[in-house]
Amino acid sequence: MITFIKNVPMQFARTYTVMLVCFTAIGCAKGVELVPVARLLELALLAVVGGFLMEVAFGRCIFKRTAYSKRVCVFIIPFAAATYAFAAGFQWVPGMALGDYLKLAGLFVVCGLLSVSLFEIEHWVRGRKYTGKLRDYQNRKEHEYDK
Amino acid sequence: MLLELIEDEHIKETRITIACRERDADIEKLIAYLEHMDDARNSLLASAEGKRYHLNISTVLYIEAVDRRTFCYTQDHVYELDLRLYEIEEKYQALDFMRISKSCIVNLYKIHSLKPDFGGKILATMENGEKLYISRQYAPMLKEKLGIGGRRL
Repeated sequence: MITFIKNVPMQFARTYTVMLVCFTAIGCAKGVELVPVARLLELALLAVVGGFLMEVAFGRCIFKRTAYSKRVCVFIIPFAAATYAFAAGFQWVPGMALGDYLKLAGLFVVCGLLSVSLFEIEHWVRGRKYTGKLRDYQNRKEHEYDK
Repeated sequence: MLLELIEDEHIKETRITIACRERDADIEKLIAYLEHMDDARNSLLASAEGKRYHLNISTVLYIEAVDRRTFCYTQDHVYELDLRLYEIEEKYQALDFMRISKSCIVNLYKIHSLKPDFGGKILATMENGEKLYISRQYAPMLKEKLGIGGRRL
């Protein structure tokens, strides 16, 4: 439980960062110049929910040996529901007509793809670090054998 | 013949020095025996297509257990081994063979690159382009060995 609580802030930070990047990208595409502080706070609140769900789904405190695809489902379904509830509650999509539902779903898919891309970039950067450490290890061991 | 044995925990690699008046037949036999012993330590007895081979361990990329049989993979060939996976792990751990999953041991020197993957796994690309997954269970051990900090709890 302590580990779970310790990891949630990090998951919140990751989720909020990804959400802000997605939100900014979409806003720029729509010509939005200013974002209300209230909207940032609403996104932060959603990120708290997202961070909690991230740790539930992808942490090892609750699901220890679960397949990755199931973990994605555990996260994405409630998070999609939470995102819709926030959008409806805070009037992110005024009127909420059928077309707006579809727009929201489309936005969710775009944001999902953006966030996966961001994670891929993060993995690529970390991969370079891991490979560097591997090279250091291989070179160090060679020098030990030369002595 | 006088035999002198020095045990010192600070010594990293065993060194054998032969002091003799001349290099006679007995000394040649001793040298041949010691060289054979060193080769045996770093070699692996394997079989393929009905033939037996002594493989130099440094040519092995990874070793995998499939259907209760153990196979080792070099750059271009696959050989079957007599030893079980856990026996190989015990014998060659000092030569940087590391278990990366329940059924696979990899030669750390033959990994070309590493990349984290979703789900806490690490993808290892070998020198011959093959890709192996280091499972979630064994990824922390690899990180510890390479001195990569920030273990995820």
